[in-house]
Amino acid sequence: MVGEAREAHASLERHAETQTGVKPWSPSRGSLFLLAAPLLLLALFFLFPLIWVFAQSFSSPRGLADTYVRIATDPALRYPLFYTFQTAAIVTFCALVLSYPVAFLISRAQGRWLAIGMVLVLVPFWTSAVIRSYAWLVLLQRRGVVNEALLALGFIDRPLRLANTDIGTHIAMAQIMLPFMILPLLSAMRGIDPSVMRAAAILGANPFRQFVSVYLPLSMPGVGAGCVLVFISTLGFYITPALLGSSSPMIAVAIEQQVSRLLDWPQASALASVLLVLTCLLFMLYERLNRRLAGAGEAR
Amino acid sequence: MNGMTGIPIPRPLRGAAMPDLPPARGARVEFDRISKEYGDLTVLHETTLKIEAGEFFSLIGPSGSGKSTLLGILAGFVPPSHGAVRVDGVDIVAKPPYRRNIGMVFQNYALFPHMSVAENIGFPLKMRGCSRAEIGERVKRALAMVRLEAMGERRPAQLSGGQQQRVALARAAVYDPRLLLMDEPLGALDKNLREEMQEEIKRFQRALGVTVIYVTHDQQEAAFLADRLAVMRGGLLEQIGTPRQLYEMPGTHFVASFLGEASLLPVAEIVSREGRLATVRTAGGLTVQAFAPSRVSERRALCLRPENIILGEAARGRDNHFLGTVEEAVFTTGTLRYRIRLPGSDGVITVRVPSHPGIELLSPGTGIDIGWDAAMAVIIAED
Repeated sequence: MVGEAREAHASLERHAETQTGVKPWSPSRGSLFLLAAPLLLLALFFLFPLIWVFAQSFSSPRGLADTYVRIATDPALRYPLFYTFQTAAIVTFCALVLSYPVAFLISRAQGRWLAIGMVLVLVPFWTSAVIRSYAWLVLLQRRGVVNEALLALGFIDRPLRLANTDIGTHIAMAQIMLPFMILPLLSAMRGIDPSVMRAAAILGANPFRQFVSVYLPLSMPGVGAGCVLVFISTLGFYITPALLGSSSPMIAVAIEQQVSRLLDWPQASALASVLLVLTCLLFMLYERLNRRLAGAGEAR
Repeated sequence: MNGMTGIPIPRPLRGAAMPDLPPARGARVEFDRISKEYGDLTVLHETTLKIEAGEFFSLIGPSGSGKSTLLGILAGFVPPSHGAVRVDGVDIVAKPPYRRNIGMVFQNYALFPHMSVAENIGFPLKMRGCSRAEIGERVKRALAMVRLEAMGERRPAQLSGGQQQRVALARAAVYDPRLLLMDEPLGALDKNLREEMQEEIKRFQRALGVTVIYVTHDQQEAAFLADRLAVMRGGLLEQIGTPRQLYEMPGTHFVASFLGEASLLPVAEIVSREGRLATVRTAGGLTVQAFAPSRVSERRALCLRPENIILGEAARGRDNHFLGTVEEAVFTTGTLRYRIRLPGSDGVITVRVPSHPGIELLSPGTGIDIGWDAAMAVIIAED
């Protein structure tokens, strides 16, 4: 019965089509066609090169999996990978600690102060990382602004070594990453209902407990999103560590060295593939964690 | 853990046997020449108001009338510009909200979305340093009080609006505050649920004996719930009284039209006055017997409630009797609502007649007898 009716309906529709020459709108047909162009673009310029890189990592003349064996065994290749993840963790932590109060202040601002706060966050965000890295180089060098200021104030007797050190690079990277942390935090904080905070106050929570019991947990989605964004972005940092230098090359710098100095394309490809896979695994882990946390609110 | 009993054996209720908490008694609240300004803008003019212990007091008025400011000052969210707020004689203006021990239900409930229902209700107890066992016990009792025993483990987002409202009520009352503030607590509910919750709130307040200050813009809700009402307007208290006093003898035009429906006829002069009875001439030229409250201001009007006006033959024996013309006739649930033009130039008044199958809806243009007794036309201040 139902099938018949559906058939009758379909034939009616076909009939209408042939009569009017206008197809009834359907979401699937048109949108699939529209998707073709971007899909083709992605396949050609993203997916294909990615597969190419992965395939190339197995084309070492020394053997099929030699590149990966060397990453596992050669400290000169393995350490940059470890160092990169360590740096990403440090930078993420520093960015979070610096961003949280800033985001909190901006989230409380109204009108002109809100606009000023947003501009202060967004102008560096829109400035190229190359320019900001050079700026940090100028600030942190032996006779740079930071050292001169500290000397003049009498905090130090001798200029500190900041450029070409881990600390200097971490400072610069954390600063460059600030907007990626502040913006998700801000969005989470602005979503916190002020009456919920008032409720906590009238129910007897002092400002500290209002923050710990209510504000902090409610801002956690922003913390999670910001940390993932900063961590993953930091994993791929190239220009800042390349310019400012550090005790060990970041993975992106190591890959570049493999290509431009050693001309070892398979080894560079293997490093890139490992970075990509680890990043994807990390992101999946975050997604799963996130879903579990959000899922706690759903029906049991 | 549960190897011995399959069926839970009901235990005798505690109460008489165990010294429970003393029955909560309401707090006495006093606003003493309180005002609030933001720069040049005065949102609350100097206001003095006393609310008795155990009273259900409602603040009503349109938005921006200052009612929420007054509540915010009492809760501690809004610092007053001048004056004192005393609870049981103690000035609390300098105390932060978390030291005031006041319960509050918010318009959107303001439940903590990241906590379960039980954690929400237990929150104020936790902040007061109660032991885990005591929190569990009191949360259980609070859940039972609002009939949500089975919902303790759920998150607020999994509850309906009415259930969330009850959680908010339980959370505000679980620590036995002697003063409970409610800021449009039923604003987000649909009509049927609102009425149900109104009954529940009233029962709740009677059972606990707490003082409730209830802010709403819904005059029907306020009239149903409150022992006394204060009508606010433009940062000023317009009138305070029982719902019946305010409805039947509104002091001003604003109160008359804010509470229920009213037709107002401007009064040109008071011809004579004998005690509470007066003969007045309206601006439209009618002579009317009316009820005069003790104080009558210079500019005044007659306030007529639509359900007090009688149509047809029964109108002839009344203190005031005229021949009107039907201008508009509509059926609304339960009543026939007429707009009737009076003789003279006073214009149109609204009349409501109970509807039933034996009554015919008059058509526009029909002439009709219209009348009311002197006590049904109250002289009020025009503004």
